[in-house]
Amino acid sequence: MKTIIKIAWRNVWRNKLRSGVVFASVVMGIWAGLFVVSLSIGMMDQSKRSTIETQVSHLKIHAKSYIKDEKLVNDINPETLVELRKLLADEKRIKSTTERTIVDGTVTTAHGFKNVKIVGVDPLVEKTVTTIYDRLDTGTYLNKVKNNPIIIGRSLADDLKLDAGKSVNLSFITADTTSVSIGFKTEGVYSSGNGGFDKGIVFVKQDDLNDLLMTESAVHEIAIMCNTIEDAGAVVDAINAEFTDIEARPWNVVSPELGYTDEMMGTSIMIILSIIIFALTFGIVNTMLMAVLERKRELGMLLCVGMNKRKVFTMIMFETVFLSLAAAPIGLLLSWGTISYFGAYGINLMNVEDAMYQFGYDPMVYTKLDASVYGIITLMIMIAASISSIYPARKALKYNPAEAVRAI
Amino acid sequence: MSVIKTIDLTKVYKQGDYEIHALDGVSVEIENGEFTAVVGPSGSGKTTLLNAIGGLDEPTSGSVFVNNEDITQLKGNQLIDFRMKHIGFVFQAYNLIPVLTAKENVGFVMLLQGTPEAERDARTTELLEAVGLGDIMKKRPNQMSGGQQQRVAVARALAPKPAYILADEPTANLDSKSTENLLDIMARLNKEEGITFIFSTHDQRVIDRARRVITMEDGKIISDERRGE
Repeated sequence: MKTIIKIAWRNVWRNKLRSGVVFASVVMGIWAGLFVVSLSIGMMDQSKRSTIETQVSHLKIHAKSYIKDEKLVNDINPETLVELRKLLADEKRIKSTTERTIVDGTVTTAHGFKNVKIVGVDPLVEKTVTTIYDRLDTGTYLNKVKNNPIIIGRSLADDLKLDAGKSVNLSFITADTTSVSIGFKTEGVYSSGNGGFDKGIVFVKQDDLNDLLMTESAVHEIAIMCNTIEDAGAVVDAINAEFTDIEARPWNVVSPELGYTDEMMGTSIMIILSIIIFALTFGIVNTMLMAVLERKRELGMLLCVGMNKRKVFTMIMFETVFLSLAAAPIGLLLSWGTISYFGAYGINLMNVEDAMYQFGYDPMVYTKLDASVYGIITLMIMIAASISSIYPARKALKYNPAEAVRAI
Repeated sequence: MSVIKTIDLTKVYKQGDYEIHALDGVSVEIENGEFTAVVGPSGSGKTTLLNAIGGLDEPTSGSVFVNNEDITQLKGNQLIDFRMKHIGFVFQAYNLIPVLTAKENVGFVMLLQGTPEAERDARTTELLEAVGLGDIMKKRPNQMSGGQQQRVAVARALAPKPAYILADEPTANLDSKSTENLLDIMARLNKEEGITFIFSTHDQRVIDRARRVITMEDGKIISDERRGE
């Protein structure tokens, strides 16, 4: 076996150019595949984190009636709210909570109007749950303007030609069904990384909103960040076990598309890797087939002098595996280096910033890849190499030694 | 004592509606220690005969006995094993393994046989010295002349101590000096060690050195001449 392996290894390097081409294809294939996968994971991961930090949080609590119909009157029952606050204060897995008052309304300027959700927040408390305060393009976060400050998203600001310091008119229906239209001053413009969110959500001070709505501290939504995202499920269960008129929902229920993204990523990785391996397999089969056809006389001689078919098959198989696997460590190392570098410093996709923004991605992408994916691709290459060897090896076994030794 | 005996050997190839009788009832015995040339024009059947007695090609009918064993009854790996243990081959185009050194090439068949390394090493060294290549043991085929490669091929054929050596046009690609050199070596091995050589050849220099010349035409033996020393 040792000699068979030795011959196979040396055969790999007989035609340096051809082996070099396959070698380079394997390296580039692995690198490209893993890099694309890491880029996708990085983008998805960043989008998920950004969505959770700005919009969804780890979990949200609403009155059950609000989930069915997002009306102003469907706020959380004040008695339930008192009990709920106690439970949340005692829950060790919770890092921070924020209460919000929400009403549908319209933002109007001289340049037009847009329907939005007006979210009333306590700025200091909100900062502990979301990172909108940290995503201001211009202005400040509800702490400078004294009367009726408002924070709006970049997309909305662009549509209505607004900027910090400019006034807008907010219209909405109060608790007693009175129509209110009142002036607010734009204190800041945020970019959450998701154009849709930025276009549809404006933030005002909760006290201001409750005064205007003539409600007494109505709370429609409680957003919660846990110590870790994995704690969300258990906290949701604990809350739902205690209350019947409210419902806590984890991030992947509040935003199902985020949950699907997580599930789809695994499948996408396998599809990308399979396509690359499939393409490589054809290259390897082609090269080995050429090698077997070129060496017809030599293979005929081996069969003549007593090398049995099992050994000939093994030799071709080893050659194919060596040809494929010799390049794999370099491809993996190159991938690891590139992914680590861009994982630390990021890739700036500023030239497609608008498209990225509209789809909810930040233009700065940090590549990311689990160690297990390196293992999976190595395993896939080994399997692909073994499969690739079968056809050329079978071809070699079909040679008639008497004819093969005389082949030109 | 005959080392090879063929009985009424035929080989028929079909080419469309036509049948080509490459061997047409060939019966011949080769004695141990013979130095035999099988000659004849192209298409006479000499290579087909060598293929049949080398177990490389299955005859259409008839038998080939090697040391009293009918090799036409052997199949697949049995036949490959038989060739490995009993027959040495020298090919027109040398057919050495390009990625192995001269010494590794000579030891290759012994390695397939499972000969211990020490024994293999001693035998390959002895054989390469016997064919005058003791100084190029570590060279690969592409670093050798044609004559040197064919001498390595002879050493390789001899290495597993076969019952006989089949050499198919062994001098066809060699110059005169290399041919003489090779024939000297084979004649010496035949004489001193009693190794049986069977050649198929067109080369008059080989025919002149053979002690038995079997002439074929149209798949039949038309003459079988034995010569003295």
